[in-house]
Amino acid sequence: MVSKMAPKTKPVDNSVNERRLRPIYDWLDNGNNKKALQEAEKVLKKQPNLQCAKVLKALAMVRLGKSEEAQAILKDVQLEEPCEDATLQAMAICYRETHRPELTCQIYEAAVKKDPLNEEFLSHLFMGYVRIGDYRKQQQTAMALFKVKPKNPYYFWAVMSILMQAYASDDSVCLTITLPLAERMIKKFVEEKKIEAEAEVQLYLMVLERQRKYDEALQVIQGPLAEKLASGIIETKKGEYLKQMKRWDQMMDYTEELLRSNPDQWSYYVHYAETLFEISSQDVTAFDRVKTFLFSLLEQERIKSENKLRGPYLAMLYFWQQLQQRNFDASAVFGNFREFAQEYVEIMGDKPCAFQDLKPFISSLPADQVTEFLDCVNQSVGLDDPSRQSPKTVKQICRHLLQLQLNRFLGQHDLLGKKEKTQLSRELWDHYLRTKFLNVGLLTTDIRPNDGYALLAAHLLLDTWNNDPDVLYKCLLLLETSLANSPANYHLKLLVTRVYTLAGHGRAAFQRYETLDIKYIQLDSLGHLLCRPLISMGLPYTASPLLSSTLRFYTTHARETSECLISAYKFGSFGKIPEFTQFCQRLDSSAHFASVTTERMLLDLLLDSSSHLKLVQTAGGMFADPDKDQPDWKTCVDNRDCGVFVSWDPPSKNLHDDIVKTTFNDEVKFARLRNRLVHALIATVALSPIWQIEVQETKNRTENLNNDQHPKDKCILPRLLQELEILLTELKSQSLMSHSQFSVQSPPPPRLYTYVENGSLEPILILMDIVSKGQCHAIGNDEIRQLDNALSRVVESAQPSVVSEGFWRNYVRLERVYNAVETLCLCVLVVSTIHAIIKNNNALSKKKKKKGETDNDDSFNRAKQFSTLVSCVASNMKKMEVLIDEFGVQVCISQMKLTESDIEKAEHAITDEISKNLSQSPVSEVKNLMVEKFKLLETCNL
Amino acid sequence: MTTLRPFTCDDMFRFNFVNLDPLTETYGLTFYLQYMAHWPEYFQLTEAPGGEIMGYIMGKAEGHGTNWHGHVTALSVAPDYRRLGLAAKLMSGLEEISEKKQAYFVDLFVRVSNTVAINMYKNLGYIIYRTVLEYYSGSPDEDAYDMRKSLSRDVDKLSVVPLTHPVRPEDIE
Ligand SMILES: CC(C)(COP(=O)(O)OP(=O)(O)OC[C@H]1O[C@@H](n2cnc3c(N)ncnc32)[C@H](O)[C@@H]1OP(=O)(O)O)[C@@H](O)C(=O)NCCC(=O)NCCS
Repeated sequence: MVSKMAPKTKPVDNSVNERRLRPIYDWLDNGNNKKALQEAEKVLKKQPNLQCAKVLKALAMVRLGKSEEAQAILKDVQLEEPCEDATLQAMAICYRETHRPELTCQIYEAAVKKDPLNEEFLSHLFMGYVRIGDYRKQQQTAMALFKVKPKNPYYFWAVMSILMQAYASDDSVCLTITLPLAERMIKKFVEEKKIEAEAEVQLYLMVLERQRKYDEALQVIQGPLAEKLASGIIETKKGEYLKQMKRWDQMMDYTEELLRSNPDQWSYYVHYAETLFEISSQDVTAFDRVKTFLFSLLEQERIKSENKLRGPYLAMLYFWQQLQQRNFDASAVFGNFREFAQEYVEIMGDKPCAFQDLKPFISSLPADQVTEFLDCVNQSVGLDDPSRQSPKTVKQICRHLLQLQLNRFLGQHDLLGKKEKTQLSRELWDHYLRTKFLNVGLLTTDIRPNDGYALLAAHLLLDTWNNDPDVLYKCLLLLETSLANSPANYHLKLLVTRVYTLAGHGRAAFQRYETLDIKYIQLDSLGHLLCRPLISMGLPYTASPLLSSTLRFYTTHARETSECLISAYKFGSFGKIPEFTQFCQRLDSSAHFASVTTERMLLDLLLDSSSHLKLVQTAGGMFADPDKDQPDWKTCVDNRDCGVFVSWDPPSKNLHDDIVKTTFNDEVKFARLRNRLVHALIATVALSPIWQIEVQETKNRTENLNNDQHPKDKCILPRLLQELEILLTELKSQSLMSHSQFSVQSPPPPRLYTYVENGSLEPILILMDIVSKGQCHAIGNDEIRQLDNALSRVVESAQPSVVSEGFWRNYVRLERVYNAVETLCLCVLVVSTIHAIIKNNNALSKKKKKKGETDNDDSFNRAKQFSTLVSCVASNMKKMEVLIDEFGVQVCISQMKLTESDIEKAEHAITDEISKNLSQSPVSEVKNLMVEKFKLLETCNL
Repeated sequence: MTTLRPFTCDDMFRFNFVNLDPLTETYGLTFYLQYMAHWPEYFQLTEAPGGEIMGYIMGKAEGHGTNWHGHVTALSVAPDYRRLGLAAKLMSGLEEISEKKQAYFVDLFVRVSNTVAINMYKNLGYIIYRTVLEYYSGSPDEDAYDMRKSLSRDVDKLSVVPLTHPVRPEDIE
């Protein structure tokens, strides 16, 4: 809303202006920018010097995509140093929308200079500095504000700005000057009894904590200022300070006090354990004390008849595990782990959380007690003959599922052969069907209690998959069936998405993925599940909009977060200020962001290049800057939520931290390689004569440069090619993960592996090198031979005879095909650039020659060499086309046959749906892409 | 057993077990950040021993005069952790803060089809104060119940006298 910024105080003589401007504001608010622009022009005809009208005109232009003209207007107004609120605010909006927040600071600086006592201007200036994160100037401005209007918030804005300087740099100046200054400022207010708000006390604590002055901080929360604080804060802070000061004895008393009043707060147990181990190194009697205390809490629950708390029960397992991990004889100190675990199962086994609760601890169960434990768990279910009998109540389902999950987690399923696993999964499916009657009356948004059977049955089937299409089909069948009954169950949706992915059916995977309704922050945390993988599976057209919406999230967040920072200052939530700043950095440095940005550009080049002219326009429209358009690769962070898949696999098979770390590192490496690739490609296209006409000239016009190319531009390509070579050599020398290490629940294998292994980059490098060295009209036989070899290798690697292993084999095969297709298509783009260069040179040399003279051998040779190059690319593309056609039949699991009994049990709608999904050709998009680029290649003749 | 603590920005990277649930909306960043900036004490989360996020509540205090009240904007518990009393615990925390802020009542909106939540709120002492027509957009649009529970400041329980007629979304303050 723009109208909100209309001035609150209206000088009388301005009322005419007000009335004239009103319609412009209205049009802008309604999103009708064209009308707003016309209206502004009308007003300016009457009053050419009305600053605000000029700015509103600029704003309308910004919103109509005419940024450059708008900038010119704004520059002029800025020179006039406006001093009127509405104008300034409208300018600030323009700057915000064009991502130039620093200019907002400039205009308010000028306004403040003219009117130094204007509170409004000063506070806008302060917020302007918050947006660009200039803490020192924030501090000065806040103090200036306080002098104009001695209000507490202004004073504490200044203190917070000082603290932010200390957060930003950890040097000694902070400790000796910056932080003590902040502390003094607050103390002054404390002494003068001017502290008003909770926020101010919190800020005091933050300043003390940063200096590690925990003793003083403790005094604050125990002194008179504490009454301003919420009780929860005092509680947690006290524990934190005692811990920091290593006052373990006090800490012990204190955590016991807390636990007594709240025996279900897990963080207290964690502190309690830490305290125990600190104290016990000097005083072994601590063990007895803790044991007695924990047992007293447990006893309280034991005597309750209902609403028992989980905390005291799990605490026993936790402390036992902690002792064991520190090489104490846990059984001697605490008693029998198995019995504690059994007691927990007895009491909480009928809740769906039981497995998740036990998961962190149960692997501590001594190996020789596993059988006994499981026997007891099995008995707790109360089914005499589980192969024929099914649970009769929801609670019994929970117990039964817990039993099955624990059996799997404790390795019992690993002992089964394929036949037994299939048999067991069949049994689970029967349980699923037999317990359906318990779902009656549930809302569609409720998750069905028996869904767990379907998930577990699917996991068991996947264990036995080993590339047997029937198994995948059965798995899809039961997942799709249970999903139809339980449309809210996202575990089912995630798994079914994954199974389609493993089957090599990206489009079906995408359809299921969409039902998860992943948006905003989830695009960052969950995007890795399918965003880049869609490209690997040969679905560039499907991936394209997903990449765009992801990118939109990343590019808008910074502006949004800075507005929230401002709110945090306004509401005095000082603790949130460093948190928001870090959050913003975390999003900016997201590896997924880096990857999506680059892949988006590559896809644009690939998909938006039906002719050489179009290619140039697309590449030119990116305004690429190879130096600025890359993140600091070393500080990229992993924002993926890799724990989103449930799994009951034993810890030995479970997602290791290793695989999370390695895949992250490798995704970053891949993003970096691709980033350099896309910039090299753009730099190649930039050498086309068409670029001179289409891109450079407009650029020159707007930037008022003369017609010479930047000297910088010419050396960009060789430099980028060199960077690529270095990266590639480095990657080739590293050992990469094997695809067989990836499980059903693991993050998708990085594309890096096949990309490097197949030599996907080499042919493009050879071609770009020709352009880079200015040898387009002297293409040697050697280069052509090299290119042919490199391309053949890429095509070879996509052959079905190249075996892939493990769960991801179909996926990896599709990826190899896509690698080859993409390489061929990118080669066509470079070839079209070479073609444009040769053609232009020919035309130039023709002009120079006198009429009547014939072309010499040179140019004939040139044409011949080029056409050999073209046929080399063309013949490899043909080979690839044949391969793709064969591929369609080879990898598809659409020939999977259903057995009669399967069909009987399943609903027809579901089998139809699956068959439909599986009949979609997984290679139609890559075929399409090849046809497109082949057309472009055909235009490259001399 | 749970750890109850304030919601922080980083939690948004991991709240998927809660937010993938179709009744739980994932909002744009600004929405969460503005709540954290404005009402940090009203945005609380519970965490399991394994570190998973089990559920969270998001709320605010607003209104003038006797309309000064606490409001529940979002409440959700991951399916595996339901029926453990977590929602009840989060709600009582919010009511406690609202008491401290001397609010007259706590209110919330809920889909009329969400009988699970409606029953839960009833069990926690909330009444259906009024129906808001077509409050939730979608196909088709859905009505909401505006549910309320009075706090100690509202001695005469004036805030919880149900309205007899439904209202339209534009009529609610
Ligand atoms: C509604 C929701 C928050 C309840 O969370 P919860 O932690 O399971 O609730 P609690 O365990 O605290 O339940 C408190 C009481 O509510 C009632 N209740 C909760 N869920 C119930 C259900 N599925 N069936 C019947 N009663 C139920 C019970 O009386 C329960 O007490 P009891 O278990 O001692 O009988 C949860 O189901 C959820 O997240 N749903 C999806 C999101 C949503 O709908 N949010 C509300 C939007 S306004």
